[in-house]
Amino acid sequence: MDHGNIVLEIKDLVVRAKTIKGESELLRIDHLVVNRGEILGIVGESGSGKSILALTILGLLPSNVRIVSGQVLFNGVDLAKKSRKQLTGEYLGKQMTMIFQDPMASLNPVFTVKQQLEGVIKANSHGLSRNEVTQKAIGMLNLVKLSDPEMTLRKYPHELSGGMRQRVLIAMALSAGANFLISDEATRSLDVTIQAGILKLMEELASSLGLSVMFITSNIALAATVCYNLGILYSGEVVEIGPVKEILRNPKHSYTRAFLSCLPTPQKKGKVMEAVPGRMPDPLDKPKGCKFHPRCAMCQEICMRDIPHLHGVSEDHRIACHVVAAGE
Amino acid sequence: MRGDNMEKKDDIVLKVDHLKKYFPVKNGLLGKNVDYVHAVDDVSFEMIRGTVVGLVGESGCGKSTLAQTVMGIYKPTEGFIEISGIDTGKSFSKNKEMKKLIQIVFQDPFWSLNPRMMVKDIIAEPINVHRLAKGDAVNERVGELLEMVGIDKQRMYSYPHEFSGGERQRVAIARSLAMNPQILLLDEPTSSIDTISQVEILNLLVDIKKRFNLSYILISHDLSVIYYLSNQIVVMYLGEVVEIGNTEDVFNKRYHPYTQALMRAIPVIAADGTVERIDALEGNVPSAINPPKGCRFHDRCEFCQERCRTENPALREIEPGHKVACHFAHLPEN
Repeated sequence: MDHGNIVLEIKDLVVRAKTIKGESELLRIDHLVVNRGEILGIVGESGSGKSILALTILGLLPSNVRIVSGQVLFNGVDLAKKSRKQLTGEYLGKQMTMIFQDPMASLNPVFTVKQQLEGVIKANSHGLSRNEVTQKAIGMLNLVKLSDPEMTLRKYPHELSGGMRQRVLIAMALSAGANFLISDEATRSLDVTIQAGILKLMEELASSLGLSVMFITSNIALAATVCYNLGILYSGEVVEIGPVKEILRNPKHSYTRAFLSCLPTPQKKGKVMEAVPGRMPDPLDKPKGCKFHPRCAMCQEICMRDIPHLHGVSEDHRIACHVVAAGE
Repeated sequence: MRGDNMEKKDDIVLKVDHLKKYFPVKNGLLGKNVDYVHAVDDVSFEMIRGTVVGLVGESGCGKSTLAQTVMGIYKPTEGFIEISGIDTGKSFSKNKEMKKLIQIVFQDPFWSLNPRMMVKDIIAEPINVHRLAKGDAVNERVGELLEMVGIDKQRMYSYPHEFSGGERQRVAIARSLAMNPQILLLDEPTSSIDTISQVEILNLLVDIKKRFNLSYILISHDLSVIYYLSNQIVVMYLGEVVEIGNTEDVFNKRYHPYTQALMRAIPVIAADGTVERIDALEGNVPSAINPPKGCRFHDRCEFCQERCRTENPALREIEPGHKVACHFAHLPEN
């Protein structure tokens, strides 16, 4: 793999939180890579740590949560060593950015799209005339495929539909020149027909601008349509990562298999589906060893003792499981 | 006329006949009605006892209004609703007896359960309101309901925050069963729950449907859930039914261009692990105040022709039990 192509690389990252009830480990990620122009899907249930992962990369962790060890390499620079001030000054918004689930909550309801979008442009490119700023704003709205940009600029957020708001946010996110976008359940509140449009837009931006996207979702089918690579997160750890096609066709980790077996597919109609016993562990009381072992049918002694690390089952397909590793 | 010949046929638990629900748009100092939102416009369907009707469509298509009108939350502007052969008529909202027949399970169990009430009181509330039990019998009934949905009855003294999302939804289902309803209205019952807990809720819904011979009206954005549970599907667009038929027919044949577009937009993982490309439907749902002339879908339809702009297509039967509202519904899907 060409090393210069890597936008984001996470190595041996451990993130912990201090709470009144004690210290808990939120994330433990051996290795995670996002390449230029790639959309990497991160799939997990609620409580799997997918939002904490996004906040860790952006350096927006709450004050009681900190990176204990490991590296977050963004274009070769370790962000874990930067202060919050350096991050917001040099990286946040300028090189990397994020869009959230609820587009209305991310836009200010009392300002027009023009005021908000031009505000971002002015803050990031000095010396542009008023006309040039407006032209750039229109250009950005064209980029995100909003019809009639001049009209959209004059509108307030409440006058736009959910899909249009999310497009405006993507335009704002990209207008400062960011080339790495984290999308945290960004299409969850949208209609399926509109959601498909936003996904298509992300794909287009990835291929035309070389935008790298970390696509965080709880819907594996959704991730599978836009991503080439997919990471499955469970209780703060990547349990399986690899090309979507391989994971779907040949899931190796018991959690991935459980997750896939829970999707109501046409073949299962009318039949009782197999449920997975137990639930995601409490972050304050995580099991020792493999986090999935209390729910895993293949659990062995080593699983209760040692934390499994990612190992390759094929070239790009890696999983964290003792039992599969022993079987290879 | 109605009633007599119907009991001979399949046992119809719900009949919606030419139902319309318009909301007035008021304007000016005197609050005159200047216009109407055509939220539900001439919708008819029948539901056989023990079956599930899935309502699909984008937001703003009127599926929630339809469901809430059936619930008796709104009074129909025109048309009538029959539950178990009884015309709900105009006094529905005041008629407690009718309300026992149909109950609702909401989308978000974090909002639908009062955080300050014990689960016991949440489930006992409808029992008390309808005076279905007294004294110790109330607690007994609550325990019975909780066991029915797979929650230990010792936990009736807990508060909602002590339950996980899936468990809360079970509590909501237990509450809706308290009055032995005949119909449950499931408004996005699994959309705020994780995939793995969703299975348990779906299994529970299938189970209690069989045990109590319930019928469901299911609203969901997730077509795989709709496919899994429903016997019949109603596809709505801008207040109108555009396609109705049994689940397999609607999914596989997709005669209406809107149904095709809707299904193309939804990612589905096939059995062999492949994923079909998804496609967006351009444009937004038009305003329901001034719906487009002719076919309401014409400005977003890829097959739109002159006739579609002027003449609103009626819902016509293409094959037995499968109706489509499109002038050119015989066009093969491309």
